[in-house]
Amino acid sequence: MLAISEFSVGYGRKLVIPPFALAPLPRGSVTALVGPNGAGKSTLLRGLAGLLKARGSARLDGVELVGLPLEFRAHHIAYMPQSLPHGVALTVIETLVGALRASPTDQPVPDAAAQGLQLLQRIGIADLALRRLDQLSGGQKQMVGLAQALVRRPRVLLLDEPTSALDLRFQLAVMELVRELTTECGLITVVVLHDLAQAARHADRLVVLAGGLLQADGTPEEVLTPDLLARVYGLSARVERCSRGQIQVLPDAALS
Amino acid sequence: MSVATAALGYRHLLLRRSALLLLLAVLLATSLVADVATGPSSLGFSDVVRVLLNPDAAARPLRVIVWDVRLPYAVMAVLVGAALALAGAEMQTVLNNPLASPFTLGVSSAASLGAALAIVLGVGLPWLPQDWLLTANAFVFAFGSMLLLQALGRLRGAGVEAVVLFGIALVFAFNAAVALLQFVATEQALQQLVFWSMGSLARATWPRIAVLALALLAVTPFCARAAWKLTALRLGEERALSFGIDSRKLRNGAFLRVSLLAGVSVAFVGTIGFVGLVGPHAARLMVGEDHRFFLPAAALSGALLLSLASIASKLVVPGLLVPIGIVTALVGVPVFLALVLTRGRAG
Repeated sequence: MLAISEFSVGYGRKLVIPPFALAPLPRGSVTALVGPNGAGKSTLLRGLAGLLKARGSARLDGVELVGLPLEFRAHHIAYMPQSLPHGVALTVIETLVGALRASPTDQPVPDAAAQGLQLLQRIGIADLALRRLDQLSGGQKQMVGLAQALVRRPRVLLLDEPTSALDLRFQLAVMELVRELTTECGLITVVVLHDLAQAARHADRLVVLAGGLLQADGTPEEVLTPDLLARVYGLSARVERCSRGQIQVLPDAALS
Repeated sequence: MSVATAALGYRHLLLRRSALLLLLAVLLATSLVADVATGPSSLGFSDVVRVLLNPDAAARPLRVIVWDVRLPYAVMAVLVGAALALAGAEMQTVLNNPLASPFTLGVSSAASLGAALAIVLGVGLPWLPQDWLLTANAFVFAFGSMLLLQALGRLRGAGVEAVVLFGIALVFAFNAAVALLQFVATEQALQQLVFWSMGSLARATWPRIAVLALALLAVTPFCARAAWKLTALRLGEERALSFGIDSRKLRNGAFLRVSLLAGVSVAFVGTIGFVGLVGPHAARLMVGEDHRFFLPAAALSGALLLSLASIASKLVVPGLLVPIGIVTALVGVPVFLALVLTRGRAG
């Protein structure tokens, strides 16, 4: 369980996310961070990952993460940025072996390649193992990025817009995989998403931010209301359910 | 593809890369012997090998030519090539920039400024003997320029891109200072400075070779230790940080190693460009960027390139030893273009 209280994040002395608290995030849950551009979603995620200076408390199963040096935090948390860099002459399996060998671990990793390959097989991309990163499509790269984050068997998975550059098929594939692995491995997953329907479909819980402030926190049904969309996004929108019961957000007009 | 097939493929990949390293080492050894065999008094390949393996049995003139005249040049070419290419490889990784090298980011210009101060104004470290003044000045400035670059990179808000831009700015600043010194220099000093800045293996001596070899030996274990972290850094700084890698510490360590390798090399042989740029690119094409293979391959490629340039420097104008800095650029440019085009077609 991840308990966040009085948690704030900033760049240097500039506070971007003022202190706030969340109800505990249980294992096996997916929480989507949503909100308009510049809301502070990625900043919050990077604060949790330890890449930005954070204050307050974020306790993972009783272990305080705030102030924990990176090498110890890396035992618990995996962070996946939006994209992989270009022009990298490494094969997929080499990136996984590199992630395992470069990370400080309590125990030695006897066969990092085997561990990496098993994960690739679980994700369904074992056939990409010997392909170079540069030869992969955007969707394949996101899958590989996910594998890099998961190979160290973290307890918390932080994903920054993992579907932003993907077509519909890969958006679905990546998020379904995230959902499955979260349940299967008992992860606490926090994912930044822009697409509210996607967030409602794949997340157990939505946390809405705007201007660095917490606007709402709850299940998709509780959070996604026309009132909230008007207040946070400045949109006149309807929230309806499709024939299969999934929540759809239908924007009508921008409010002046 | 099954896990077993992929595992086998990965093992083959590692074996192929190890074989490529071995091939580079064999080519380098061959080039070294060929370099010693090349010169005004022609020696056979087998003669050279015999004198190298058993110097006491060789005739004195032959022994002097091989051991005292040609071998120091040939060994210096190998060591300088290895040092500059290794330095370039580490710089390219930690700065995430394929154009980074000791030459492009100001080390050579700084060394030239140090040399110019010694030659034109006689300014240098006070306690050193006169014949080490120039070398020591060049080293102090080259080493200092890297430390300065590192310090600038620590400024708040300065990312790796800023470090590269700082390096380019340093090149211009040092070049301007050298031009000013050239402007006020006597004709004799100017001639000496121009010749120094061309880069030449003719300054190779066994004590200098020993110093450079020791510098290479000293950094090797640290390079090996950093190999996995450098590999992970290629996946991006934020990802590396999330793996628990202290990227700032990693970068500082790499800069110290680069400072030592580039500083000593440039101080001993003058300005030799391109090796620090081409060596890593050649290595990347051959073995990829798993730094366990990439770093040694870069060092071997740089050593081989400079060794071949050393041979070429004796053949370009018969009877004349052309400064190797000139040959490196002449040979390096087409090689570099070929590499880039090959990469473009492959990618």
